[in-house]
Amino acid sequence: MFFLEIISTIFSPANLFLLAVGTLGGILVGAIPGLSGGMALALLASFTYAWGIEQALALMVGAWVGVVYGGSWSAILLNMPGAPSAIATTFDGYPLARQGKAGTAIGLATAMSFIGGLCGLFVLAIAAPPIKNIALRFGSHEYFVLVLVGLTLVGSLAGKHLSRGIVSASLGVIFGLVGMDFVYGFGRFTFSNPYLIGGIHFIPILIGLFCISEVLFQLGSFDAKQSIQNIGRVIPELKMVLKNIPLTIRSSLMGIFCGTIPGLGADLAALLSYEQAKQTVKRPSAEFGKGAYEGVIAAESANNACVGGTLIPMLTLGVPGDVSTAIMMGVMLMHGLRPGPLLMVEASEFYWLILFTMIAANFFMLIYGLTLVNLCARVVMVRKEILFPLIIVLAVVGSYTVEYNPIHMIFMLFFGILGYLMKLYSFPVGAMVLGVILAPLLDMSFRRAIVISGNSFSQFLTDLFTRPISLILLIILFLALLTKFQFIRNSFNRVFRNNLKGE
Amino acid sequence: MKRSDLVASIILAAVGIGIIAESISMPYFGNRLDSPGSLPFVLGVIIFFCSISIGINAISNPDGEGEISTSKLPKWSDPQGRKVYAMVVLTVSYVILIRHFHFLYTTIVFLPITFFALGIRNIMKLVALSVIPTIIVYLVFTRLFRVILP
Repeated sequence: MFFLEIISTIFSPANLFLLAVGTLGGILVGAIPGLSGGMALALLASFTYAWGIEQALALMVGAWVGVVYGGSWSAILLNMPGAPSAIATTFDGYPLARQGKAGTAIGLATAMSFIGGLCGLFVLAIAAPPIKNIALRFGSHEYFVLVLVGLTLVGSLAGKHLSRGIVSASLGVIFGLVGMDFVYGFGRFTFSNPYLIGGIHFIPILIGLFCISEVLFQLGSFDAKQSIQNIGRVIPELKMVLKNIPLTIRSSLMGIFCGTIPGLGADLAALLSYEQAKQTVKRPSAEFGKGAYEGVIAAESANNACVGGTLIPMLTLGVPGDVSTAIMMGVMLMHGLRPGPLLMVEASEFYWLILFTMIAANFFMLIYGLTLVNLCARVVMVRKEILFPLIIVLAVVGSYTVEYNPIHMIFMLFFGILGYLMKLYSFPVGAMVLGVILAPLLDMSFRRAIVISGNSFSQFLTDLFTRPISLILLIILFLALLTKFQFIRNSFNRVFRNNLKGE
Repeated sequence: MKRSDLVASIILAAVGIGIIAESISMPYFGNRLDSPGSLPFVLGVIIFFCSISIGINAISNPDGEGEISTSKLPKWSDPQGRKVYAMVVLTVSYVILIRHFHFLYTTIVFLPITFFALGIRNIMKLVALSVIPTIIVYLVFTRLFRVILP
């Protein structure tokens, strides 16, 4: 009965329509090089402000799934990844397209993205409940360290330099703390400005950091002339799909693993999985880097499986692992849902709703991918000069419609220019967004932990090192800082360098 | 020495010190540790030390060897740079004007000017690209989403 209600919610005409539109829109945005998934999700988040949670989730989840997959179109057709997660797809996707096999490559990418996506969601479904049970034992000390781990990992792995990542995350937390303090009602960093008393809404921050800054950054970069390859037959042969199922499962597991660790993300998942395919596939259809279907399959199944993986820490612990999950978490918070173990206890229907909506979005992705490529592929050729002014209009409208307050447009502008400067000077924007979203949780858990430790800093530190879960998290934090996951970074660089040389 | 990194480190150090000063000036009720300024203080210290690290790195690494290159602010002499500055000015103007005039009027002026600034010269294209999206956005938001536009 419980599941029937959830399925009937998803299949209500309005939600189904929004899911279909969101997935298609996500695919198209993902397919256009230069338009990031964060940009699309940030804009959409603002439009869903006044909607019900079910409608908001339908649109956002559809767009999220679509964006991750959509990057493969331009990667295969133009040799330009529409999203960072599709970098590895270019290695073999474009050579295939030049051999006149673009359709088959896209068809396989679609089918394996679908299987990878479902694998990720299957693992989410079985892993989340036990993790939730562990998370229910978390106290303020554990949450404080957990948020620190999340921010540090995202800051250090997403950025190129550890110190820049930490600065971005710290500044994000400071921006997230602006406004009334939740304990004493004191205005922090408001500078007696009435507009700052209520804090800075995260939607204008998101839109500024992802839309305005991206538009400015892309405008300043070289815009190469593009030429699209012929597509041809899209639906892959069943024999080919079945033959590659073991590789897809292996790649999906790697994608899920990368998704569960904050900061790794779908781009690294795809690159590592590509490397794994190179080492494990004995007889590829062609040499890797020169048009091997296995290269496309490994990359695409891993990056889509990663989506399910990133949901595990977000839904069970309340800590998003990348920008997209941070935005999704922001949308949930905006609609009164706090992701974390209690969500799964007190409002488990939303956990299952997200899961089933993602499954439905994967089906839409499969249908669109196999039927609309020939019709919609030209969208990857849309000129930036046409898109960018329209994005600015939507960004301004999106930030205004949140609470109908013109000050949000000013905040959006401020964060847009700040984000642009951050991108120019290699400060990771994603870490700042995570800081903004996690600031209230970090502040609350830190101060509660201090009170629990008897307002003594030495006792607070002792508690951090004597509570088992907190100690384990501290060890993870320490190891992460010590190694910065050097082995992953090394393989990332190696794969990237090898494949650039291969070209 | 990478000049941009050094400038960034000086600015960030100033920001860190500002945050520390602001957090110290926040009131506390009995205990400083659980006061509103405790976490901002810690963050201010972290930002300050990270900025020092960036500064030291900039000074000790004169050629930027091993660094993953950072971009620079675009120059006015560069056509792409001019587009960036034009976009900033036009967006700021759009945000200012939209507060005083209706969305429709402001957008219908903003879009063709921006398209023109970005290199689209065909008059018919300019009109079509400006009028049609403006009307679509207006109708979708006001009729479908039932939201009030500025």
